[in-house]
Parts: sequence; C-alpha cells; structure tokens
Amino acid sequence: MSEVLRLEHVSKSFGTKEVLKDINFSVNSGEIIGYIGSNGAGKSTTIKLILGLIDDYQGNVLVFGENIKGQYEYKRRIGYVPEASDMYDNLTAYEYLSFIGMLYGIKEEKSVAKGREMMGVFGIDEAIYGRIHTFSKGMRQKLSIITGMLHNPDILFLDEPLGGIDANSVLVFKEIMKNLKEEGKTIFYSSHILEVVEKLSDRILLINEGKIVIDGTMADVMSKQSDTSLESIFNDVTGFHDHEALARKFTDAFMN
Amino acid sequence: MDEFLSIRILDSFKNIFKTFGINYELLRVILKTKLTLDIRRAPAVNTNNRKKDEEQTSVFKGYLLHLIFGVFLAFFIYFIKNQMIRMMYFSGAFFFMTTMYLISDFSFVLLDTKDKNILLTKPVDSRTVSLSKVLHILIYMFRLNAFIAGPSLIAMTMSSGPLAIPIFLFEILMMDLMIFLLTAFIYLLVLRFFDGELLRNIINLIQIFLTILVSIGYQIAVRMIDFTSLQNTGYTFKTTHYFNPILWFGAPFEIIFHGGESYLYVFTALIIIVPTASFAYYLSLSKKMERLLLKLEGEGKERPAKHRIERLVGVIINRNEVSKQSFHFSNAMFRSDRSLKLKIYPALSMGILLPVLMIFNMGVRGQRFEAGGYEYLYLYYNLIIFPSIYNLVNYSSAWKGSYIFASSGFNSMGNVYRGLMRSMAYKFFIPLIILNGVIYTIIFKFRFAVDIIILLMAGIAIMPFIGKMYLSVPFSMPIDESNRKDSFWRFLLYFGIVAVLAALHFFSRSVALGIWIYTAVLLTAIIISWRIIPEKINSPS
Repeated sequence: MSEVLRLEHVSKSFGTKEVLKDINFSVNSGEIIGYIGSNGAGKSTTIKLILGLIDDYQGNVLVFGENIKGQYEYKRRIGYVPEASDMYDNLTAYEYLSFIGMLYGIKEEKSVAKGREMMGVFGIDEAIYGRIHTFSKGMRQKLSIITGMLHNPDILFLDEPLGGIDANSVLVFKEIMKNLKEEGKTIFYSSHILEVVEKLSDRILLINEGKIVIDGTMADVMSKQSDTSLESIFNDVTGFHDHEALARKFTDAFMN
Repeated sequence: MDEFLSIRILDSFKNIFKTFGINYELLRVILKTKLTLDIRRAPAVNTNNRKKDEEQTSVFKGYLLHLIFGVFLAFFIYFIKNQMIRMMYFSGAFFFMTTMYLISDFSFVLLDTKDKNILLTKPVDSRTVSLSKVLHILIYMFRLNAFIAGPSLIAMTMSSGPLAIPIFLFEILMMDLMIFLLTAFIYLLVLRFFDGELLRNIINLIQIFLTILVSIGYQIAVRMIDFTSLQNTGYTFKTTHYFNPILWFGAPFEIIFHGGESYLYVFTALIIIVPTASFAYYLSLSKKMERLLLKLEGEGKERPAKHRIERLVGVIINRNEVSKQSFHFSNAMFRSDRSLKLKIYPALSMGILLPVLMIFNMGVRGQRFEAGGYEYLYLYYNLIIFPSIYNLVNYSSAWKGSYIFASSGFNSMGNVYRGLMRSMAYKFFIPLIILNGVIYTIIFKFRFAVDIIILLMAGIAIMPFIGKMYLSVPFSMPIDESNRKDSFWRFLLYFGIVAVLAALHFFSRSVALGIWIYTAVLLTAIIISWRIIPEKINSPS
C-alpha cells in the first residue's frame, strides 16, 4: 500500500469564516474512506480543494506524492462525482459521455461504448440518446457516477453519490465499491447516509466545524467511543441528543 | 453536434493557439459543446409542435430585429459624407446594440460557475477554460456583428471603396473586445468588493442600470456634438474627445482618405492600444476572476425586510384574501427574481425614455420645449410597452414552483390575476406614470396634469384586457424562454386599442365638458373591467 493523498496543515477561510482549520490526514491506496460531518462542516470544501476547484488555501495538498498547486495533470487519475450533479444537461447522454471522455483524452467510440455498458448495468442504457434534462433525479445521478469513473481513475471522490438512486442499484453500487477496492482503487466517500458509510468504509474521517475530530478504522472508533453505531458516534461528536423532543414539537405543530 | 462555421474559421488560427501553449483540440471540443448547448437553449416551448430543423431557423429569426437595425444604420453610413461623423454614428449605435445584447443575453456565460465544476475537475488547464469562455462570447458577438454591421460594411464599400473593408473589420474586432472587456471589468470590480447574495443583487442592479444607461448614453454621446444637418456637418476636435471612444473610429478613414492631423493618429493608436492592452490585462486577471466567481456560489445573509408600505397597500386595495396574498406573492417575485427583473426593468425604462426623446427631438428641431398642446399623447408610449411586461410575468427563473397551482386543487384564479395585476400596477405602471408626470411637470409645469391622470385611469382600465390577451399561469414558464417574440397580430390589435384610447383622449379634450365625461366613462370602465375580466383569463390550454 502506498500513500496517494496527503493533506498537511490545510486551512481555508471564506472571508472571515474559517471553513477548514488545520486539516491533516493521509490516505493509502486501496482504502475506502468514509468522510462524514454535519451540513457546513467543510466536507465539500475539502473535496473541492483537492480537485483544484479552490486554489487559495493555506497548507499543502499532495496527490500521488506531488503538490497539486498549479497542476492539473494529476486530475487524469482522479474521478469526481459531485453532490449537485452539475452537467451540461441540454446534451444527450451520448454527447455528454463522449465530451467528458474527450476531456480525459479518450476516443469517442471507447467512452461511449464504455458508458453504454455502465448505463446498462444501472438499467438506463436505453436513455443514451435522450437529453439529460429529461432524466429523473436518479437517472441523472447514475450518469454522473458513470462519467466520474469513465477514465479508470485511481482515486474516486464521491460526494453523496446515491441521492435518488433505487435500492437495487444501490446494492450493485456497493458491490462495485468492493470490487474497486480489491483492484487497489482508493475511494473517498462523503455522505450523510451513515448506514451505507458504516458498511462500506474501512476508515472513518469525521469533520466537525472545520476540524478532523475522528480518524480511525471502524473497529477502533467503535471501541474508543464505546458506541454501537456510526450514527450514535456522530450524535455524540456533534452534541446532538434531543431528536425525540424535536420530533414531538414538529408533530404538535403539524396537528394544530 | 454538427460542425459550426465559427469553429471551422477558428481552425485556421490553430497554430496561433498552439504557439501560446494552448491545447487546441481540447479548446475546440469545449467550444463546440458550448455552442451546441446554446442552440438548445433557444426556445423550447411548444417542443411538441416544433419540428427539429426549426432549431436552426429560430436562431436567425431572433436576429431579424438586429438586421433591420443594421440596414437602417447602413443608410446613415451611406448618406453622411464626413468620415468622423459617420463613424461616430456607427460606433455609437454599434456599442449600444452589442452591449445591450451582451449584458442581457451573455452575462450568464461570464458569470457561469457550473462550467468550472465540470471542466476544472478534469485534466484541463484553467487557461483553456478561460479562453473558451472569451471565445464563446466573441463568437456570439461576431454572429451579431454580421447582422448589425454587415449592411454598413456594404454601404461603406460603396461610398469609400474596397480599402474601407479591412479597416472596418479590424475596427469591429476592436470594438467587440472593448465591449466585452468593459463588461467583464465591471463584473470583476463588483465581485472584488462584495459577496454572496448582496453581490448577486448588485450585479442584477448593474445589469439593469447598464442596460438602461446604454440606451440613454447613446443619445448623450451622439449629442456631444451639435449637428444641424447630417450631410454637411464637419467635425471639430476637442481634447475631451480622447475620452470618448465613439469618436475614435472615424480617424483611420479620415487619415486614409483625406490625410490627417496629429489627433487623428492619436485616435488610431487608441483604437489599437486600449482594447489589446486591456485584453492582456484581462487574461492576467482571469484566474482571479474564476476565484472571485466562487463567491457566487456561497450563501449570503439577507437582512429581513418588512416592506411596511407594501403590506399597507395590500390591505387597502385588496378586500379578498386570495387577491391580497397574490398581490404580496407577486411583489415578492418581482423583488427577488433577478432574471425576471433583468428583463422587466429595461423594458420599463423604454416607457420613460420614449416620451422624453420625443420632446427632446422637438427641442432639437428648434421648438425649444414650447408645448404644442398635444405632448401628452407621447405618454401613450407607456401603454405600448405594457404587453412585453405582461408577457414576462408568465415567466420566472423559479417556474418549477408553479406546480403548486395544480397540486393544491386551487380554483380561484380570477383573484390571483387580480392580485397579480394590482402588483404590476403598484410596482411598474403607477411609478412609471408618476415618473413621467414629474418629468412633464418639470418641462411643462402643470399644463398636462389632468391628462396624466386620464392616462393613468385609461391604463388601469385596460389592464385586465391586456391580462386577458397575454396572461397564462403566472411565473410558470422558464425565464430563458421568454425571448420568444410576441405574436405580431396580437400586438397590432393591442396597438389599435391604445391608439383608440389616445384618440378618445384627444377628442374629449376638444369638446366642452368632454374631459369630465371621459373621466366618468373611464371610472366606470375601471370598475367593470376589474370586476368581470380577471375571472375570464384562462389557464393555458
């Protein structure tokens, strides 16, 4: 196992708001990292920073051992499935696949053939000539996953990849993750669906208010925190315990 | 994706890009995709009845207005013999049209962040992405140029010979660059100092004001020089003209055809230096711009506003709860939907501009604002602009929310329209008339006070009728599609109605007691039309 990603003392502020505070961690190949945290904790910012979407930060980000500042070639080996599946959705799936393939230097025939096969797995290959804006949320997300993986990347950044995807496809997706891990791919998985994260990841990174507060394997984290599930760890760390009272309040308002 | 002519032309400059270390193949693919997207952005309403090949023709339909303008401009070019004056007219009009178009239709390209999320996560140099953005906009400007400037190029060649062609084309390129850069720099400046929600509001305001200002600025720029007769006017140089780009562009022609004085060479140098230097500066800033654009994605804090006056007005003019809520809902939409505002306010500004221009033109003809007694008729232009605003109200950038009208089983649309139109009167029509009233009062004292009140009443009386002609479910269609031209015949019918109103107004003034009778008639019309017609406005079939 070799190190593929390292963040050293990374901090980032938007105006006066400090979003990331001295983040340090490193990731080895073949790891599946569950990256979790509350809304606004800094998850997406971390990912955007590694992908070079944000380039004014303090500290160092190293991908495959090299500092990414000013670089873009390393992106050839990185796949990204964004949370808000930003796509040129007036294109057809076919056109979009070949366009994205082209950006990675893949020939049209190959990217389309590959994409079509992957779409077939998720049962949406018949929609390949349809414009993306006519797709349902789940179909869009499936296509977004596919275009993020089209170029056989070594590291995958998945930001809430399962939104709107049906249960059967989720099963397939989880198996794919396992296979990719066996192939030595690294997966950086960010999500709010903790059950999935718990099952998939072999290591948890929990970010709270811009700081990494938990970093360790599932087993480690469980025993240290004396909790039984990722959900309860999450509640503990973020200091959230009054869900029952809140639900009562909501129901009362509902009935009035 | 078909091959685009513009891309094939670009191909011949391939090597230039390569010398600057740009990955041309990548640039080409990105541009091609963007152009394809733009074609598909074009009208998609009624896609069911539309044949596919109409996609192409609709692009040209959209330029018809520009072509008419271009031909009109060419006549000026042909008849004005003085090179300086001629180009002053041309560049003034050219800056005006192109800037308007760029701001209203291409701000979204300049301010796009989706682009970045898709492209920069791939192994693509950020320079290539920025360049594709610039080229994308320039290609559109050139396409527009062909319609606006094409006829003038022919006129120019006819009157000054083929030597004019290369100079003219070069000047167009420089003007395009200037327009593009000016717009970009203004945005950059705003982005530099503000963030989030506030920023978007400021940009929106600037877009609106710029659009309006450009339309007035042209008038001012052209009038910086006093000319009595187009044909014989000569040009006299003043030092301040160095700062007025509109005056620069005649210089190269003057030099070639008449030989020149030193200031002409300065003008010529300015034509070349200003755009190229600013372009180099822009490219050096583009990285900064991308970074600043990120601010657009962030949320800002909006101060909670109470809108006390609006709430009070809502209570006073609406006795029905539905129409009151519709009034507030519409006000809120007009206040917050930036894309909608960007379309509505420039359209509205023409209502102020047109009457003022008519009076001003009289002044130029030497009548010096002495009222002829019929100037109130110009104010009927205020009514002419109303259909375009009614048409826009059917659109919104938040159009998806309109499902609620269907899903809630709501069936009292009449009152919704009543509230909506009251909001339109409150936010657009009445302020417009008041503003015009103020301008008229400044110019003519209180001579037309009664007429302005009559106009106001006539406008309010026909509002429900315009609603019947133009409204469907409010805010229910995507704002991007609002560029569809209005049906000509419907507009002609409306124009006829306004003409009749103006005629009635004129007639009532010439008869004893006519004004009072007409006022009474209008009052009755207001009551009846607002009571009956809103219920008859139907949902789209």
